[in-house]
Amino acid sequence: MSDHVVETKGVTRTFQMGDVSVHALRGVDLCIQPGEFTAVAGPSGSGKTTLFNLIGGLDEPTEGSVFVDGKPLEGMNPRMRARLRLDKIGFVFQAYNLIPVLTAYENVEYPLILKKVPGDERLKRVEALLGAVGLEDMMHRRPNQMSGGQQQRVAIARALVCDPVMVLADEPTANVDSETGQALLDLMRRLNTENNLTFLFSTHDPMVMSSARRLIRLKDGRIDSDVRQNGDESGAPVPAGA
Amino acid sequence: MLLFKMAWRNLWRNRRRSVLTISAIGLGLAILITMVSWMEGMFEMMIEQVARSSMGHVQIHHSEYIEKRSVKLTMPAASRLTTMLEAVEGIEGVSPRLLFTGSIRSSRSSSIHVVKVVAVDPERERKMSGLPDKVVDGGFVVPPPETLKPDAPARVKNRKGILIGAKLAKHLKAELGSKVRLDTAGFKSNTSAAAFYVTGILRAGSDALDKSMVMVSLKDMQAVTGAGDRIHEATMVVEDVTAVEDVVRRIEASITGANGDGSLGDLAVQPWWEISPEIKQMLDISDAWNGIMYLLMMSILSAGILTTMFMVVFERTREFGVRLAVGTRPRSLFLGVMLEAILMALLASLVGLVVGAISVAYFVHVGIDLSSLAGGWEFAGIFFENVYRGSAAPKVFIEPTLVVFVGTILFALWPSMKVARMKALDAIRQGGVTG
Ligand SMILES: Nc1ncnc2c1ncn2[C@@H]1O[C@H](COP(=O)(O)OP(=O)(O)OP(=O)(O)O)[C@@H](O)[C@H]1O
Ligand SMILES: [Mg+2]
Repeated sequence: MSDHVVETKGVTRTFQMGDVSVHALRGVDLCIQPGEFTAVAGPSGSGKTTLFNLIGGLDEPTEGSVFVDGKPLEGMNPRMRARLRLDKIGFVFQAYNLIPVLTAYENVEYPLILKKVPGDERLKRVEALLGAVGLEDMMHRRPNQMSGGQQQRVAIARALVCDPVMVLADEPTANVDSETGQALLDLMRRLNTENNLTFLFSTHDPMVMSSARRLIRLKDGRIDSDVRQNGDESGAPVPAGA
Repeated sequence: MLLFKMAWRNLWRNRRRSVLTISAIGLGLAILITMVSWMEGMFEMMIEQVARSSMGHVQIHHSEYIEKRSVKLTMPAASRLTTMLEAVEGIEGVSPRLLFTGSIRSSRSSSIHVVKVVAVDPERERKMSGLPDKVVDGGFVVPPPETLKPDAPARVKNRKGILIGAKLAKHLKAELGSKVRLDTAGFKSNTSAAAFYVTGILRAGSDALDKSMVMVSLKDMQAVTGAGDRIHEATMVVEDVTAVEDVVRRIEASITGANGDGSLGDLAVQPWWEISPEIKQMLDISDAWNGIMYLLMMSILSAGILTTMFMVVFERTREFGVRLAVGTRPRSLFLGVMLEAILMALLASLVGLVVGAISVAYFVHVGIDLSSLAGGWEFAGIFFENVYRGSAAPKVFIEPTLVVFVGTILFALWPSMKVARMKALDAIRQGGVTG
């Protein structure tokens, strides 16, 4: 099992809105291997965010189970889930990822402080990461003094700072122009190949989909197709999409 | 440290709102401090006046005297009692007294006036009474000047002085040097009468003193009435008015120690609030006023802290969601919001203390003039000054500031708890832009 970064088994998620049941996910089986660079695409409302929230332990499935790095999330209390996110998962949201009162440097440093990493070690890692995302000149700017693309790069640096097994990026390029989006994508791809870091991101953008090494299409809460592309050789063979 | 830094910066994120809240609470605190200072000043003045009014802070009588007011209910061995009391820790002054109801008349007028006769030891009385300052003519319970002449005949040497009020002097058509006759109850025989010479005229502004009281020397009165070493009352002023109860306890202990043979008589020690329950009641009402003002402050706080912090929580829902998603513990979000409120209270207290101190300084220096309300006022037989000063006692600053702090912490708990109970997912979704 533990050679899977993420595994979901028969995951469903139903939201109860008064008398109406919204079936956001209707049974999703998914395996993500280390080093994958996978996009989850699908129309609005197809369940992408719901799936990411389940994988990140922010939400619990109605049925089925989720494993992260081989460990089942079922039965973990909120505190253990928070710890799991801190240790194993880097989150990047669509926008407003950063803590407004902290500088770029402090935002990236934040998870390390939560993990009680000593100060000199923090300095090394934060500076290295901000360098890697090309923001060494912006370390002491606050989020409102940076562009949307720069803010997303800070968010990516923060997602990476605790050496996660995987980065979950829910529409990371949705709020930036296409050029910036491409740059962010290149950055993630570089981090993916250089460090063999697993990326799972959701998107609406055809350009982003075409850059992925594996493309999973969601439709009505089910996996509609799952294909490897761009010469992806990582992981086990993928069963033909349903 | 990180929490503190974030709370501090968060405070200045919405600069205008924070400044507004801080100044509102600060100003409220300054007003509260000023009002408490007035109230405390009034307390202090009243207690002081009570003491200076001849009531003192503590009195000792024969145990039945207060109830029966009979001239016969005296305390023997007054000199011994007085010296003993003067040795008790915390007592500033002791005044032994004989008290009579008497009648006075002068040869110049046919009218007879009923007066309260207070016989005092002038040196001791002077230390604790404000009356010597109110003497407008002559001296405070002094012998007639002619008795001091070395060649004065014995008849003249034995003349006794009396201090009377200005209004009484007018009615008696008496002035300094006038001879008056004073009739009182006596000890050897049932009545006693003696001639006195006016050696002082008093104008205190109250009829109780200016019209209906005379003061004579204790020694003279003891001789005239045949009281010997007896007195009716020993009045004491304490060094610290807040420690009256302790002093009462010490007095009782030393009396018990010295009165094994009963030679001091059957004594009762009473603090001022037992002697004048009306004053005590009035002070209690003032205390209730302070309570109402504290409640008012609480409502300012609830408006300030509660609304501000709820706005903070509402505005930052998204941010809290992200922080939770990253792995922050709910407890630290809770502490962050609390810390922000406490910082706000700290700054507000600073503002309030500075403005309050300036305002208190003004009222301590200039005083509060009540003369426009009434030409001085009298309550429970005690005459109070027209102008009193605010108090600058530490209590005036400490209590209101504590109220602000406790109130802030209390009112910040609710919004902070709301944050602590947030679910990362809901917080991110409610924050508007979902991924
Ligand atoms: N907390 C919730 N309560 C009720 N319904 C929800 C909740 N979260 C999601 N849904 C519903 O579940 C379905 C899937 O939503 P989800 O956000 O996962 O879609 P998505 O693929 O991320 O869409 P988008 O591309 O617009 O972000 C939608 O119909 C949505 O309305
Ligand atoms: Mg979504």
